[in-house]
Amino acid sequence: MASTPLRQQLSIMRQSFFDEGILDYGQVSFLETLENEDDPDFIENVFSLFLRDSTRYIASIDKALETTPADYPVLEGMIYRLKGSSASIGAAKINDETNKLRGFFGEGDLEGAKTSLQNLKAEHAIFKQKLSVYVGMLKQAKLSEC
Amino acid sequence: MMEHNGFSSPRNDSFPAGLRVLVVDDDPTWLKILEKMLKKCSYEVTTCGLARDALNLLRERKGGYDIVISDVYMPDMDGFKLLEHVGLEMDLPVIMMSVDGETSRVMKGVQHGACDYLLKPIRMKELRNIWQHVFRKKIHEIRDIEILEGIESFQMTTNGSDQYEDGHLLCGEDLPSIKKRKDSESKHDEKDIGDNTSTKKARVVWSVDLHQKFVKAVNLIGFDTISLSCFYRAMTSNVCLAEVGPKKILDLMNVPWLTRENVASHLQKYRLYLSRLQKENDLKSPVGGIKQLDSPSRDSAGSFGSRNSLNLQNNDVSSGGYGFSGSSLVVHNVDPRSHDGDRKRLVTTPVAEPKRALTVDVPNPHKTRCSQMEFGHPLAPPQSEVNFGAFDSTFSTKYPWCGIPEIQLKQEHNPLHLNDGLSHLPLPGQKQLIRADYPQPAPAMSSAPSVTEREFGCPIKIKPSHNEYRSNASHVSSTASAVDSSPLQTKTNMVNHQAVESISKSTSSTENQGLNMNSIADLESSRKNMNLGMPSFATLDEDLQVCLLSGDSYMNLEFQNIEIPEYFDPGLITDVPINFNDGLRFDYEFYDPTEYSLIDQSLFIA
Repeated sequence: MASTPLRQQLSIMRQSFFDEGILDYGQVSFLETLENEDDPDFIENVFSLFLRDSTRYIASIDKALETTPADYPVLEGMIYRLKGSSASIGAAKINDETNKLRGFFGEGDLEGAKTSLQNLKAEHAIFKQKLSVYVGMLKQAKLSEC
Repeated sequence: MMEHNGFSSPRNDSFPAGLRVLVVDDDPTWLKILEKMLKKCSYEVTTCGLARDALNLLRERKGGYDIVISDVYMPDMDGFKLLEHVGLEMDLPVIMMSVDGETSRVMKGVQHGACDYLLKPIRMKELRNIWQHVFRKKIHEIRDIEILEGIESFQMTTNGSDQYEDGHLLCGEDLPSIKKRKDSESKHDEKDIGDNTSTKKARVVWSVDLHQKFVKAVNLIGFDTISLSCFYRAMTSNVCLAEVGPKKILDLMNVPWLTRENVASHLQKYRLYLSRLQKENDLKSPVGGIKQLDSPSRDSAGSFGSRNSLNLQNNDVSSGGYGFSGSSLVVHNVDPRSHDGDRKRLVTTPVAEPKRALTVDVPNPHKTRCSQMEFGHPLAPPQSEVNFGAFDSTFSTKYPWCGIPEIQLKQEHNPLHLNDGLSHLPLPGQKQLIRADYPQPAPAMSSAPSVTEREFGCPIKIKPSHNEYRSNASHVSSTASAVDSSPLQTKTNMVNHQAVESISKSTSSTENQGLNMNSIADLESSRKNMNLGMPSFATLDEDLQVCLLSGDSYMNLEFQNIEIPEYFDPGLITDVPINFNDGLRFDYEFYDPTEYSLIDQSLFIA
């Protein structure tokens, strides 16, 4: 496909994600290899899934931490899922923050966990915003290329 | 979410394509990614977001999946619980996944029966290798089944075998040990069975190496001393052959810790094995359509036909064991002009497969060997004729994804040049990769369709260690190469019960390169044979051979569906008992020194 302006823009965005550490190059490029004719929207779909689910997980974590006493089982489960999910698409910063959160949680440091959660939420917000744009543009590019 | 990707079409292009995987993960992102990754491995993927959905799926389609991959953390059920259920109810291999590799969790997984534990993010190569778990499990299963069947058949056929009384054969008292072996799945103590044999003292585990030495020694002696008459006498009148050959063999083998009794015992088994093969061959002419092979083989093999009248009564190489693994090879070299009568005589002992065991009455030991070699290829010529169709169909339907994984084989690939009529048989040193690709003939198996069709998808790989065996047969020279290829085939035949035993043994120790494979192959083959009856011989051999050869690498391999069509050939069973004798598994098929790579292996698996 020709390198349209849209494509070029996408390429720049993509590279910036790697440069900023938002996305892990290795994992993302690997995912891109999984895309093929049978499932041309694989990347968009996967990212969209993550965006949706990660939002849900973080909301659950937030709520679980705020309740008194904290909902440990839910916390454990949600943190676990978020960690796995973020690793699956190479959301590096989110993954890092999740690990930190997990650490606090594991030690029973709820206050530390809450603080860490705030960082996580911030990272997640940035990620969500940027990737939403990226996914939207990607879909658009593919549509226009068909 | 559950998506069924269909298990219909077998993938023949590459093994282990078509492996039916059930992925269980509550994370939609991972589920999607894993599905993609597995599809890229050419596996058939079904995804599940809930553990109970997964269990329902598994229960609804028993046998519809080959392996389960599940995350340890599931919302509705603990992943380990799921693991337990799957292991108990469906007996499928389960791989656990997790975001962390916390030791306690990993241990928990192992304790609950997980066959692997993957960390997320999961890499492609980890997924590519999961078929190995399926393979390994199958091998073990086959082995266990074979053992049991062997025991049963042994009990059935025990009567009248005087010579077995001295404990060479698996006696009743061995059953407990066998059963125990069966129970203990994994690492089978090879010694269990062998212990009750005549050599009650030290249990000798006839490793592949050891057996090779044995064969080499035997070959050097030329089987002359271990003459037909002696053998015959031994078979019929309990005359101990010990005086004849074992001492010489022992000397030649140069294994310090080995005793003459060990060798004698092993020798006896070997002979029984050979004679059994011979008998099989004689009795069963149209083995799986093999008989037709005879002519072709003769023609094609050239050497084969001319050289060795293959013990077969009808000089039908095929009849006996072409398809079979090893045994056919063994066709000893019976000189056309002579041995019909001899053969018959020799055949008195119940020979499982038409292994024309080389030994017995070979008027020209040397010639015999050669002929054996050529014969070994029996697989080749007959291949076209061999009617493995039965297998194939069964096999393919059962294991659509059974393809023989060529890739796994590390060894060089020496396609059996059976087709060429032996002339092209790879020299012993070569590793033969016999790949039984289901539906398409494995290249390795030159013999062609029959071989490949053997119903099994398991690729027959001749394991690199095979080379060692080859060296033994070096003296056999050119024909030896033929043997190599044939072993595969013969082996498969031999596989039947005996193989099973050996395989089980070998499988237990992964480090046992050749053995493992052999055992697997053997198991597979024997299993197949057992089930399939005659026709399966061919296939089994292959399986065996494949197994044998590949050794540890193969453990996992290719053998995806070791489910051998159930044909049961009673004739084969009878042989089994013999095989079960004290741990020396070789008796099953007969040992053709030339082929030894394959055969040896089965023998070894003691």
